[in-house]
Amino acid sequence: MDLTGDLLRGHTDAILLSILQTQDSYGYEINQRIFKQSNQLFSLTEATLYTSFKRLEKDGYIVSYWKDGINQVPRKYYSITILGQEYLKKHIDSYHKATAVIQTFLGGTHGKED
Amino acid sequence: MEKKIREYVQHYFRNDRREDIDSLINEIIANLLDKYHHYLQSGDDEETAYVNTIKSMGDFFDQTQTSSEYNLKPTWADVALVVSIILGVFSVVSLVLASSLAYILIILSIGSFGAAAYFLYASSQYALLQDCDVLAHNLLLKKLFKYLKSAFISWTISLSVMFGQLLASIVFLIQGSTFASLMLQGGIWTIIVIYSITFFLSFGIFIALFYLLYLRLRYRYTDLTGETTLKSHITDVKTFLYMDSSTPQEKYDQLGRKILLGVNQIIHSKGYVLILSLLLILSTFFMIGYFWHYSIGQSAQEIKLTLWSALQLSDWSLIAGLFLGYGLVLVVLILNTKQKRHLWFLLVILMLSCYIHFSTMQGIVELHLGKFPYSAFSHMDSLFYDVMTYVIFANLLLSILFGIVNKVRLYQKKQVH
Repeated sequence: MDLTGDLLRGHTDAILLSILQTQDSYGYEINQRIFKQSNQLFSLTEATLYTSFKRLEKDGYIVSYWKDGINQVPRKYYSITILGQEYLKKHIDSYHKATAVIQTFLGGTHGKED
Repeated sequence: MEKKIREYVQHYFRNDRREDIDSLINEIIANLLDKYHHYLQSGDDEETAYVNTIKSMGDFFDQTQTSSEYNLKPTWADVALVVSIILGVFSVVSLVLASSLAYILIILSIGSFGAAAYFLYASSQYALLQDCDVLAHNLLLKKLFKYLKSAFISWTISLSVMFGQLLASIVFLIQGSTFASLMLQGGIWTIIVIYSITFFLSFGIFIALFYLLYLRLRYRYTDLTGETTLKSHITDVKTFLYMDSSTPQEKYDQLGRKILLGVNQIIHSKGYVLILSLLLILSTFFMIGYFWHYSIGQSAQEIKLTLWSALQLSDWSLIAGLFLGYGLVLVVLILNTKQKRHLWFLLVILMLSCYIHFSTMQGIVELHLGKFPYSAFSHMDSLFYDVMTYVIFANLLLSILFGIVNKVRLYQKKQVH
């Protein structure tokens, strides 16, 4: 089982929002960024990507619009909303707290104290 | 290849009725085309790039209903198993038409099943011992075992009839008579009784034999694979026919079964239930009205006679019977589509409706042909209707029995949990 993949999938929504926070983007471009930024370790299937987009759009965290991309091919762009930015902030905060707790167990010092 | 990607995506979402589906399709196609070009630039050939692109789509719908054994490439043994089931069913059908054909078909059915079973079992053992592939081992065994129930059912019926015929011939031999001589002497009742007894006797034997064998093999399956559940071929076929398509509300559509979908929609509509109820009430009303009209100022004995003659001679009562027949068939359909299936119960209603339907049909035809004294109703006590009545009651009893057993099992399950 791919543990890294599973862990990352739990944060799909937040990862998408964090990318959209830098600039508006569309499915393929976002996936490419995830792929490159994760040193080619992680990429999302179209199904996971659009399920996430749909959920985020429904919750009001992102909005979408159609725009001509490269070669005049129309693409659906997504943009983060203020609500989305607040959600991302909260998620980052929770993530740091959770990581700090996990770090105490799995960070390499646990079990060596005796 | 780009056209192929477009076609694939459009085909994939062919049954999706979401309002924004066109937008979703266009979005996915645009992204997949980008991905496809990316694969080409990375050095993939067109075919590889296409396959990788499509694979990256993932699963938009819950496809867990697709049987896992399709992960293995089909072999001749899969075909042989299906052929075996078809031959088994045909052997049952051909028992009515030509019993010698039934013998040949059942031999072929058992033969092809045996060959396929050996091949799949041997392949599963090979997969386990040589390739150390537990998944393939389990899937191969699953393929084999899921056909058992279907095969056993058709074999039980065919073999029971055949064995019953054999037993009947032995009885005739002991009696010192033959089928032909009994027919000539007008001993049709004796023939029917002997055939019925021998059939039910052999049916009992075969059903017990096959059931025990099935239980034994089912246990062996769990022993070999560790799987406690096994979906039979019959369940698979039912799933295939009634499977949820891309979206839950679009049942049947995925299979292009638009007629079935239409029927389903009609059955589920409130108007349909209303019309059905009205028809039944109307037919009952006509019947009561008719009896009321003819029974004014009559004695109890006369009323009884009138009722009986009304049953025998009235077009209205016959038509009412027809409605009742149709009504019950439709009740079966409603119960079936609402998943409240209880096989024995459905069978009772279905047989009852056929019983009423065909007798009234026959009655109407004979009434208009002027041959009513020979109508279905005047022959209510004939052998055919007697047998039908007994079968219906037997089914009803079995239905109750199975119902109780089922309830007890459910109760026990609850207790365990």
